[in-house]
Amino acid sequence: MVRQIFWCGVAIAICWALDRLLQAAVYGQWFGWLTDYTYRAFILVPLLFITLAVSLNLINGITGQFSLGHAGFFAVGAYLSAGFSVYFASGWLAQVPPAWQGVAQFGLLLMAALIGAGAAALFGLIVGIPTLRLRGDYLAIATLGFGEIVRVLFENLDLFGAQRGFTGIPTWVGFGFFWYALLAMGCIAVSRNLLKSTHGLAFLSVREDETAAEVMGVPTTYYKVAAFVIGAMFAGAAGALLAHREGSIYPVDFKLDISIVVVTMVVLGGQGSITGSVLAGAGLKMLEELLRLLPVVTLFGREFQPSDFRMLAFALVLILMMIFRPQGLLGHRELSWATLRRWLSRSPKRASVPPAETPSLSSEGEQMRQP
Amino acid sequence: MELSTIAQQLVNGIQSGAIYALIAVGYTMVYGILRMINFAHGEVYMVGALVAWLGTSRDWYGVVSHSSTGGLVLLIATAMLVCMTLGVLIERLAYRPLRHAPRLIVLITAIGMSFLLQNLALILFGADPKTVPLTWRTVQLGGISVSLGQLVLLIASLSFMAGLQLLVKRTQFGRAMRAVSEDFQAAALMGVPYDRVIVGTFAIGAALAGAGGAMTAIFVGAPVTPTFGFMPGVKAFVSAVLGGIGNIPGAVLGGLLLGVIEALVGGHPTLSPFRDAIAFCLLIAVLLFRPAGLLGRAVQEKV
Repeated sequence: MVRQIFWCGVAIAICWALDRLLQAAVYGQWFGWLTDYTYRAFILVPLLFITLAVSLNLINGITGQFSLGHAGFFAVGAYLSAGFSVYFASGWLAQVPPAWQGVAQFGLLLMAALIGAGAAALFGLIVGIPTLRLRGDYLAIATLGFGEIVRVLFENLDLFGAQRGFTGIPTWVGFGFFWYALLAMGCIAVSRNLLKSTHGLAFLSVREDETAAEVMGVPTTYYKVAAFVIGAMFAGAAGALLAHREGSIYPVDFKLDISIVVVTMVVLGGQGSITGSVLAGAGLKMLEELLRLLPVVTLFGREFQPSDFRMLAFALVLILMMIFRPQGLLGHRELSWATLRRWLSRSPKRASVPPAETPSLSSEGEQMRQP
Repeated sequence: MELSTIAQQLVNGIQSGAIYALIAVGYTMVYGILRMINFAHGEVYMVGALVAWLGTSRDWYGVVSHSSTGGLVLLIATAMLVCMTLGVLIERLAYRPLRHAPRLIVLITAIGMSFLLQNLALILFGADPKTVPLTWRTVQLGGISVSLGQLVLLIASLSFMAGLQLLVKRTQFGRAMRAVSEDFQAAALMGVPYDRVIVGTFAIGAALAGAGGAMTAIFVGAPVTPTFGFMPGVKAFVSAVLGGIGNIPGAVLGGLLLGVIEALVGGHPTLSPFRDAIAFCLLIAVLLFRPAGLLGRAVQEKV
């Protein structure tokens, strides 16, 4: 326990230090290319999507369910935490003496994030219990429906700004790196630790063979719901951070496209691979930004921004991946120092030898569970 | 609600239900044979509507006259043909390589296909809503106003479905289809060319969806956008589940039922924004309480 708390402290300290460093670099214009815009596009947004991808990986990859409703959980977290801040917390903050403002703001933001996460988790539970008895394809449609319903709901609630968007949210996240990085790290740590525990085996068993798992006494519905709740919780927290960083959120931010993009990330990284989700989550978002650097194309008499093709590209990636490499880039493997070292230390002579015809079970097993 | 409003909503519901039914039979046939949800089916419907818009929005050397019956029939037939080709292409390129893949992989591919087609349409035709420049005379029937287009649409879709029923029950191809959906392997052993049957199923389903799309654009005047087919597609799938997936009359019944329920509940002013939610609630309810659907047979899942 002491060790865990120590490492949590180290993580917080590292995030905080990096946050300060980045702030200095961005505002002090240390590098020409590191502007407010590139910071947001290449660091913050990828961090957000890492959280989303890793949390969806818990549902889609590790437990083998198929959720298309991640944008819905993201939206619930964003809207409800923003509602809390706008309608309650701002008033409370006004009563706090000036000297305590900083601390109070920190605490209230934490509370808002927890409310966002909790609300999303609750929604995960509400959605999960009836729908998770459904098989794969039905579940996909039901969760898709959930995501759409949530969006339509927020589009029509005047309390949350309806279609005009919810604006005037206090931007307590500020610069943002600290919170975003902390959440992403927390999400990765929880996924990784879950995978290593007995519960992780239960999650995997549901994916591999639900019937067999049930026969072996694994309460499959419980684990499916648990995966949903945990995944939704992190998506909700991510939404809360987004709302409190941007200051305004719009229903279009939570369209089905987001769910599809996150699914593409999980699929691309390899369903079940945490590092795969991290790499694909960050990589795809960065690639998307790099697309903007390409020149405008004229096709069929209309001008196109290169980024107009991104959804098309995501769809193509999804299809081609499924046909040619359904296990994703990393498969079930994880990228870690041990794999890297093994990969690097392979002598060139051995590397030139074609890989063994029969997949060796032992190496696969080693890669899945790192010491 | 007043009685006349209810009657009016009922008429509108039956009309949209007929469209759901036309799309739903495609879902149900493909599901019956391949046990997969062809997510891209809604996009085929959208392509049908796009073809109708393309046909009416410009003068094709006078071949398609906006007002003549022959021109419209030709247009719908073209839409069906285009969609049929598209359906076959989708099957050939995306689904056939995955014939023996796990279901989840096929599902992800289907979702990818759906988004691919949506975004292709977005790039080719832009996001602005496109309306077919045709208006239909409205007739008053005892306080209910029905446009002639709605009537034509209803009659046409009912005859399409009757034709499909004949095809499935009376022809050799229909028998082959039923055999493959009953038992894939046994049918293959009996010499049923199942690859051809699958292609045929996709072609028929896509043609019907294309007809539905074209007719919605022409007779109802619904604005066509790249996401035109998404919601109707999902709802049609719900209809198929409601009627019992794999069952063609069930899909028709489910489609009509969903259309009517949606019109009646969604017609209520305070509930109307949540119109789209009805289908999903219905889906969850059906799957929980009667997973085999209204007309479906309960099949024990084999372990």
